Amino acid sequence: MALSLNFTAPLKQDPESQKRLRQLAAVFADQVQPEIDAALAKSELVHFARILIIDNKYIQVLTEFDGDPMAYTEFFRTALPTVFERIFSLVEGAPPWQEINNPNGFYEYTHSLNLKALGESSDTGYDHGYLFSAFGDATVREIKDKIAPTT
Amino acid sequence: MTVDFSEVQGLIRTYRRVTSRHLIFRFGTGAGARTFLGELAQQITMADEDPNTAPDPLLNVGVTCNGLHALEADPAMVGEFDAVFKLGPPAVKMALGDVPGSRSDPANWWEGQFATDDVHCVVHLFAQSDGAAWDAVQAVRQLAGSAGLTELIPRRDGTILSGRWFAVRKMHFGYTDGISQPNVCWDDDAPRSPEQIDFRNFLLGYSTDKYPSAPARGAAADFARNSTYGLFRWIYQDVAAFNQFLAVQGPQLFPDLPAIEAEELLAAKMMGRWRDGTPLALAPDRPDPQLSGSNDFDYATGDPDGRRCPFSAHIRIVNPRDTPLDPIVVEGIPRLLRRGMPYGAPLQGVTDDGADRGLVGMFLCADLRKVVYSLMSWVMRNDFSPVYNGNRRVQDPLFGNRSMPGSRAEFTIPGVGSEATVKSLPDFVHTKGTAFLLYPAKAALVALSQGTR
Repeated sequence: MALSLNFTAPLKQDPESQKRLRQLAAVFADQVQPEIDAALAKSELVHFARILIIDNKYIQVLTEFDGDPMAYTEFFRTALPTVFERIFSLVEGAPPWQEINNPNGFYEYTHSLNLKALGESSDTGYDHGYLFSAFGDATVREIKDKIAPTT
Repeated sequence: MTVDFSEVQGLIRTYRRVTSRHLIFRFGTGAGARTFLGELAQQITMADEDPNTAPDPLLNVGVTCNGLHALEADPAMVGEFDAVFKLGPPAVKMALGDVPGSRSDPANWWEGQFATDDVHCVVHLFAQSDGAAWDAVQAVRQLAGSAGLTELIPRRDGTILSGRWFAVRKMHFGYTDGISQPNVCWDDDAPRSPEQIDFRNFLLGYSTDKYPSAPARGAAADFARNSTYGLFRWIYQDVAAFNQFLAVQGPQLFPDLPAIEAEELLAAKMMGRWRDGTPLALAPDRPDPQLSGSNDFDYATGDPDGRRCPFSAHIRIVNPRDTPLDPIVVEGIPRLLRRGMPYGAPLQGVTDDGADRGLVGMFLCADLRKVVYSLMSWVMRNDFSPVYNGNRRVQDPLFGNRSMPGSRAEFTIPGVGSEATVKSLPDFVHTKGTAFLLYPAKAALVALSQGTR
């Protein structure tokens, strides 16, 4: 079944960073969302995705994926470099973008901030915690195939 | 630029020795570890030596990430190495296909004799005779003992891992090995043929946007230059189960053929080559000695529907050549240098004798992360190309772990006007141990042994 990516990072609290956070939130729907939309659609692996800000203190990138979420980090780095650069520039303790804008650095950084959910995932073999799915282990491709209108 | 082979461990070249020994150690003190490595460094076979004429033994050493820490290497420098190398095999067990609860579960590795985290280095010895190999083992053991290392014995019966060619380039399951090794271009200034592969796929310290590796830059990359990563895999092969499978399924799938020919055709369909090496893409009906070493073929134009070589055949997964890849596969097809050797006595027939046999696998590359998350994952689930649309849950029929969640133990063989699917593929292999190794360059060995890095 799908696995979850629970990327969770603390946000910088200085006034300039908080201002840029507000700017990101303000333009997200119009400027950022379409770019993410296109990349995730192209991947054909992501069931759901959203980005959350918690009390201006934490940012979360939450997705449900088919397969190992760490297997495809390179696709998302290359597909969405400006989005990730912008997000990581707001994260407390994040390495400079030029240090992690490579396959190994990006993998390692995102892996380090991927939180395990409570509970256990007994049927995936992964130690990612509990995730409910009403669709069993159906993949995005399989679901799309099933619901595609027949001609 | 040209690669300085005197700096590179000779393992990047093909060795022609008939037998190998693999000694696994845990370091004791940092000083002892450095002494051991310093003494051993003088005996290591480098790539500027002709492996065909060099005296026995050919010797190479790989160090794990825990081994680098035990050597008291600069932690900040080690921190810049490949993320998967640092995590170690148990942490990426699912990507490797070593599913918890299956026979490949890392909890079962090394026959329970030690934990993978305890592995600090592996010394590989290659020789022309058992006598020479034994002498080399004793010499390394003496050196290790005097430096305070603990040898980790991977078998309950007290024996170590030892490879042996039982026939020329033949592996268990009967396939010929070593045909499709990458043709590497080691010199930027030399004329390059289209099929040649850049050495940066295999050597560290030359990272570019096109051929990234870690460490990518700075002092850590300088340290790692001319080193390579290794995936060391102890793989058991169930020859009796494989022979039984061929004997039962072959005649059912190909009833028009005599039984022995049906078995051979099924074996070929599973590998993508006849057992003599002839590629199915070029010779789908019978092996051709003239083509047994051929690598000059593709799939997209020559066999787009998989009727010659099934999409899930082993060689079509690990080297899909010109097969279209999914958009998400942005890094292309990883290439490996394969340096393994079979172990254990050959088995004929369908009755298991209980003996341990398989492959001491050694796979060299400059990007473990990429190899683990693409090649290894693709073997476990053929989910990387549009050619698998319709059933992306199938596996490599030879090397898949049937316990992999989300996979189906099926093998589809497209045919003319129809296709046959084998249901309930058995496990033919399981993993008995894995280590991620760094094969340090000569300068790196010196720096590590002198404690200057």
